[in-house]
Amino acid sequence: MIADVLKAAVLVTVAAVLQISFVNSFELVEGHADILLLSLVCVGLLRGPLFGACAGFWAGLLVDTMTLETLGLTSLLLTLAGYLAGRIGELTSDHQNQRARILISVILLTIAVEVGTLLVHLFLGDSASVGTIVGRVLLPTLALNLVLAIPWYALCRRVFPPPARRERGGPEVIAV
Amino acid sequence: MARRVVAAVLILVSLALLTIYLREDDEGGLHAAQRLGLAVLSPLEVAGERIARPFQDAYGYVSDLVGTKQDTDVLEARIASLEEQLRQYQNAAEENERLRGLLDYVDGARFPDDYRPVVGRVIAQPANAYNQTIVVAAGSDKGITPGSPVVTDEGLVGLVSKVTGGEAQVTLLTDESAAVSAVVVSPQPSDTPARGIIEPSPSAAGLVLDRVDKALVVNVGDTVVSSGWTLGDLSSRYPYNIPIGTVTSVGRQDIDLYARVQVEPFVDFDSLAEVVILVKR
Repeated sequence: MIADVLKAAVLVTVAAVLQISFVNSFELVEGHADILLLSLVCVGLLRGPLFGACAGFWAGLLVDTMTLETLGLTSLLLTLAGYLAGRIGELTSDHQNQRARILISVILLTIAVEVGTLLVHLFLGDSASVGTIVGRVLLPTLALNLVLAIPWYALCRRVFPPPARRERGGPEVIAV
Repeated sequence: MARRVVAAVLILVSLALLTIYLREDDEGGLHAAQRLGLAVLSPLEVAGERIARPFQDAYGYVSDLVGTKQDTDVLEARIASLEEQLRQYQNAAEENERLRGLLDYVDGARFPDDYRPVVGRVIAQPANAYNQTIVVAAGSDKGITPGSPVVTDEGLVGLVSKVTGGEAQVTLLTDESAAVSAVVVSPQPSDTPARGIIEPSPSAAGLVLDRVDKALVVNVGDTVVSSGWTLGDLSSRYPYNIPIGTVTSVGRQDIDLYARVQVEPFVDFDSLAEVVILVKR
């Protein structure tokens, strides 16, 4: 448990640093891959909503600190995103097609985070064109996230190997 | 249950941070904590940025190349568009010049009195060497009838052979069926100018003035014009004095009944764009 917490903290911190200092400079139109969100989705899918929410909160704090943006804003969005990723992971844990599970999670949460960001900024009084955000930011970001989703999940799965399952229907050992 | 509580607490904490951060000034506690956090994290950012720099440079180089390629495409498209415009302007200028020439001719002294001009754009060139006809975009709706002479400001073109409502077929002087009564106009006028019939040359490009009396004087460089004869109720279809061409050679062989006079036409039949159809008033 503690090891998982430390690994999640390191993974999110590394992802946040890479996102801000590296990935954000590779733009497609005006969007870019969001490896921080991908990391949260993977943590949520692999370790559940509690891990996802905490990792999201930590990631948001880091991002807002490193970019000197409004503290708490990104935390709010990413906490929700991490929690939702965990819930999706729970609800689809019996799903046989892992790729579809990952891709659907990435699609839903990318859209949710981008729309949430837009709404929060609109509430805070910033002006933004919905059409521009959707066309120039959301769609390129979504495309890049989908491209990276599977390899990133494979990487995260190495960091967070799935817990060994108990054999179902096997003979119960009763201590006598 | 516990995880929902934790998630709710984290969301509430986020909202609280957000609210406090927005309400306090730059010297507030959260701002100070953020600056401290940035100071702690900035080495990581710097390290990340240094690692990223070569990749960013490579990406920027490729992006610039792509941008340059796009700029080149845009400029090439612009050049093509401007070249097309230039061609259109050149065509318009040439057309303007041709029409001005026709207008000068129509308004000038050389234009025959008994006719009114109908200007027609050539819409079909001769289909082959055996069929020396063109089609112009003017027809019976403008009073054109079969037999109307067709000219340009340079000289005689031919004769209208068929007419529809909006088009007319013109048989050129170079067609083997063409025959025009013509007279040679010399700088040294004589009592009896040489007359003959203009026909297409059977052996060479150009025209030939046939049936010219060998005794009459014809010199190279003389001008050949339509003779426009009248005989009682009969008259030539071509009015008098429409330039046809220049004499380029004169042959007088003993075995021939007539002199053979080669004529270089004034009109370039291969590049007709507009013509004037002469319609009887």
